Amino acid sequence: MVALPPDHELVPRLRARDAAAYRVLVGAHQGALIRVAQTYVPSRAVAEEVVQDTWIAVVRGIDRFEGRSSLKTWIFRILANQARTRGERERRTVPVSSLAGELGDDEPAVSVERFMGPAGRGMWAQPLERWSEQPEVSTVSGETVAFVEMTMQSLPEHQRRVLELRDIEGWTSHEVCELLGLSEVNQRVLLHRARSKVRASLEARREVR
Amino acid sequence: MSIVFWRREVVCQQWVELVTDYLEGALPRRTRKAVDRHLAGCEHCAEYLAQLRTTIKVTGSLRADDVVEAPPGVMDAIEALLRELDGP
Repeated sequence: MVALPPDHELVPRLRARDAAAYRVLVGAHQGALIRVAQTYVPSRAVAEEVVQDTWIAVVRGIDRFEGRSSLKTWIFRILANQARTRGERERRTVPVSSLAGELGDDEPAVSVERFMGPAGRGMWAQPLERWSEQPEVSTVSGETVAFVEMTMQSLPEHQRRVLELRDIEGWTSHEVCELLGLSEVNQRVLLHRARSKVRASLEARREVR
Repeated sequence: MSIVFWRREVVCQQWVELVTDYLEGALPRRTRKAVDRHLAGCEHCAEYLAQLRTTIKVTGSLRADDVVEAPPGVMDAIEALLRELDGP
């Protein structure tokens, strides 16, 4: 991660068309922009094009940046708009999951068969395996990371996007809500579904070993 | 998450749906206290919390892919545009 100067120092340099300032800015955000773009469009190649278009729009639009949000949020909002438009065009024939559908999905975090007792009031039917005693997850091997990456690809797009921003890019819930136009509650629902699915997939992978 | 909350008690099947709100600090105080009481006495739910934390850590390690240098192609396009905007 390139150390990024604060907005009040960086923005005047960007407005002065200082290429070195753009170099620092691109270095700091390029990876995250590509990852977030990939949650809207079907391939890495298209994501890279969208990010390139975003940078061009940043250069052209920096004089209109008013500082009402952070520079980072402003850039990612440009990205989201470009990527959404491009994603719709690319995936016209593929059904896209709707936000309402993802929020309405009532799938439990842990399957009901894992519990015994009255429905919704159950206790664990079997003890949970202790991950801390089994190093392959807790030490975060390259193989595990690759597996999680694959699991993320299979998440519905809104869940994946929230997980991407929160748990990979380290954004706050407030920043994510602002960028994606979500309420705090809906953001948490999407995050919950996404994290629960990733946990369940890690658990299932351990069981087949 | 169609869960009926009981006033003084949280059970395992409810906890797995509350864990994100718990980690986000979004639970009402009474529910949080009920969760803490439950976690103190239920090793499986405490393990579930540990697994969620491990999951978050593993997911976070995907960030290592991030580039740290501006790709030359992107910088070429930006610099060309900067020159164009500066005019002849």
